[in-house]
Amino acid sequence: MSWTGLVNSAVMGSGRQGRSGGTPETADVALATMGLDPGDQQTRLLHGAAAMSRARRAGYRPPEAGQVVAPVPAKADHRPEVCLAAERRLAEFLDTGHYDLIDEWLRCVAALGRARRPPDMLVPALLTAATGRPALRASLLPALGPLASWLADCNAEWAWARGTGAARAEASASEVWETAGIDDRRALLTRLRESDPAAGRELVASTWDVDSSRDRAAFVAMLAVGLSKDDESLAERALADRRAEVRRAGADVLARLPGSRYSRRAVSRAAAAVRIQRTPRRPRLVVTIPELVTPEMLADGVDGSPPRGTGAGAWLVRQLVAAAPAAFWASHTGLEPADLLAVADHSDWSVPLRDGWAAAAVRDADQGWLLALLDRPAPDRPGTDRHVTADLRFLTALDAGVRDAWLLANPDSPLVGPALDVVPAPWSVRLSDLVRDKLRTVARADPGYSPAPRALFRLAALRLQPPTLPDVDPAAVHDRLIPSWNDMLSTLSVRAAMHRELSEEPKP
Amino acid sequence: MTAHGREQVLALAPDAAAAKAGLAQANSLRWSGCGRNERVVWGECQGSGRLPYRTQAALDDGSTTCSCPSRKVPCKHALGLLLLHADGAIQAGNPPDWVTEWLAARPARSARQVRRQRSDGPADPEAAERRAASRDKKVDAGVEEMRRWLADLVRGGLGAAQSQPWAWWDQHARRMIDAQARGLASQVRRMAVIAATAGHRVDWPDRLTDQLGSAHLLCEAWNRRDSLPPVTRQALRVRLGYTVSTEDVAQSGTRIADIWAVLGQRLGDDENLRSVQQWLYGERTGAVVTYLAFAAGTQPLAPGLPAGRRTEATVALYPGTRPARVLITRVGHSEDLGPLPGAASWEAAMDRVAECLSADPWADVIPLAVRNVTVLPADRWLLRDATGRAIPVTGAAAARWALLALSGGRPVDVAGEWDGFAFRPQAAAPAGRPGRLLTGWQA
Repeated sequence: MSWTGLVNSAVMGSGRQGRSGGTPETADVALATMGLDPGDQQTRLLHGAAAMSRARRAGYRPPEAGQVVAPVPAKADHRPEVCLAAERRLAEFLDTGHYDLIDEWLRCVAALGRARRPPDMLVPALLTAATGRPALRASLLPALGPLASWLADCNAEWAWARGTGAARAEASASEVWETAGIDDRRALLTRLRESDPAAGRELVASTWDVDSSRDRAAFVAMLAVGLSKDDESLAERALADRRAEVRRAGADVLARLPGSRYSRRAVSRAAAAVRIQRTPRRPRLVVTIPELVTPEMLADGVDGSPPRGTGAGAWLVRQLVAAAPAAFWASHTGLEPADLLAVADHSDWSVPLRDGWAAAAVRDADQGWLLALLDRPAPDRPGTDRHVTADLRFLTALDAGVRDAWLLANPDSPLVGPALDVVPAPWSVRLSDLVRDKLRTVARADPGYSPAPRALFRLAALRLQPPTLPDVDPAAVHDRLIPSWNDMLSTLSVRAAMHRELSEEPKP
Repeated sequence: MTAHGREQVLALAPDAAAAKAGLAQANSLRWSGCGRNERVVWGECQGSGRLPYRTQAALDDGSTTCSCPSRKVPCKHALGLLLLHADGAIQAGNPPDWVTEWLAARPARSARQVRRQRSDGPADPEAAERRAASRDKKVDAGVEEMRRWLADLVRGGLGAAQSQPWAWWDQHARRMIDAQARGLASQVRRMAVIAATAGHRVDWPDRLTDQLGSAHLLCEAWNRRDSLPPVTRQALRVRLGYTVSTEDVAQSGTRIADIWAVLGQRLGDDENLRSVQQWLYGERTGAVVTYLAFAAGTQPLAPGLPAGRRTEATVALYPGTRPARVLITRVGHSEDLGPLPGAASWEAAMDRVAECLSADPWADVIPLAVRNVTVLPADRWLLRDATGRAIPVTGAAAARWALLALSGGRPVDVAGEWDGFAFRPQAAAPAGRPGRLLTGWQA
């Protein structure tokens, strides 16, 4: 009797079959030679199971599988793997779910200039982690090599990692574009706009007529990366779109293109609306509101109906000022941003003027304007939450170096706390020193019911660079802060160890 | 001196939360006045209180003490201290007074413990014999009941049994425990697990029939135990749940000194019972043995050898079961894994299966190592050896993907567990390169 026959009998049960269906006579003979009494149906089946299950195990021969096709091996990655200590550290982070630290670990590897690769064995765990957390992909993708792409070909959940690293498959870009979901299309477009803006633009144009208005608006907005004069006609196509959201996105991109036809029209409208008048005492701003909203203005995305609570004139002024490049105003008026803001304070239109300039400054990341706006807060609302949120936009639009310099020059500004939250890891050395100074004072004081000190400790733990400790006597730390202070110290020391390990020699 | 690796220290933790807390304490910034000598490691840890806690750990028997209020032994501070020591972060030094006082008090204490243990021993050989006879009687009754239960099982058919709820199986398992046949109870629970997971295993009828055969063989063998060869009789006793005393193994167990590579480890945490099981591969002797330890409640768990490393050690074999269970009697130097051992093909590797079964026909899970296998990721993953024969892969998806990633589509050397139906990879290396465990200490 075969093993399979025995299994079938066992599953069905000896009670349900006649003598002929049970163990056949030959097996009885075999059992008898082994000194086993065949006995009743049940016993014979059990004897059979005992003898044959052991025989099956002892004599097991794996089947031939020569015909199964093995995947073509991954391309070799010539970067050596990181050292074993660094591998264990990453495994521990993955086990315990410390994604902030995984992010930093990956950035450290990428910063080694593609001289080291993450441990092969942990690549699947990294891919799984970043599948659920797209934010992690920014640091993961640059550290990955051909292995990740190869693994992604075997697992559909990791499809977003296909074509990464050295094996980047540009040939399939149009295929991905035409078939993938919105997240993958966005990722592909961002990548292309950084490396080959023309190819990205062609992709957007290739499906323009079939994409939804939401997608069209999103893609046009993404032209801002790697923007050039060549993108003008596609952006103008957006500007003529039948959907307002697409038109707005088109106008926003065109406004970033100095010298574009749109920009020239915006400049001439702004110049007509706002002029400087030199008087003996000080210059004055003269605002002329257009009498009607022309079809040309509407076509350029100017919105004729103001939101509730805003006057029609103020609404127009704000939009006309915002549409012109931030840099236009210095040449138009001969005044620096700070002086213009001062002059505007004496105008009836100070609020819409400031709002318009602020929008243009953030859009163009105009450093001079942004600094002027930060240094001269709107007179009616300094220190309020609204003011802090608005001014944070200026800080985040600044170049990192300029931003840190501003924070260092204004250590007591109410902006510093919220700004530390939005300045991503790792902080610059200078900013880190500023925070260490702050920690010294914060740690000594009674926190009361404020969550702020603990929030600062948590940020500092993850973002101080280098991850060295503030020079504070442990005895001086306020009693109620000791647990969170100690947590910060241990995170900092883990980070210090991680940096040490990643600078060690790779595995042989 | 790094006799304790990180994993080994973590395995000392009374539970997973304590292990995690211990990791957080393994931070040299929290510590001051640390030092070690050949017997003890000590340090003062800044906790949440104002005064630092004084923590010390003896290196010979792993006992620890700490001035913190925690009831856990070892506490997180002791774990942290041992982890720092495992990392080589603690320098040699002269112990302060509070450490020498503790050390001075210890010999007296351990002598007391030894006396207490002695008094448990069989003082009266006749009474011991009576106890053994009465236990055999209970087991007789248990085996008889098991036979009846198995007969009922096959009369109704495994198909019907498979749909029974867990409680139905568990009730019978508990009766086997009452009959002092713990081994029969685990046999029933193994069957219950197969029945419960039948929904996603196409081979459940084969697996259940296989366990049915194993269970029946236990009963048959017990009834004719006097005619069995001594090795198999001993294996049978262990499989039924008789224990062998550690002292006997330490005194008379066959000893093997070798460099042991720990190529597989399972940590269990079942209700109040924690366990560790390791596969040890001897590099010089080619012996493959298993280490097994349990701890209840807050008892410390003796962690075995450092997982994923190769360690010089002497072990003493327990009699009976195959692959032999061992007691670790001496631990020496330890280092990172080298290339994995392994046979050239699955067929060659499976010689060990027949060898184990001939002495211990109940051997259920057997460690195998094979070189140069190709991972075939498909609906059902396969591992194909150089001769073109392949076996199915089982176990956690994470371990499978880690194995595929290590291979990159090229041949890998692999070590893991064969349960008669599928292979669970536990350690691997790209052909000829240093191996490593596929799962961490938590898995």
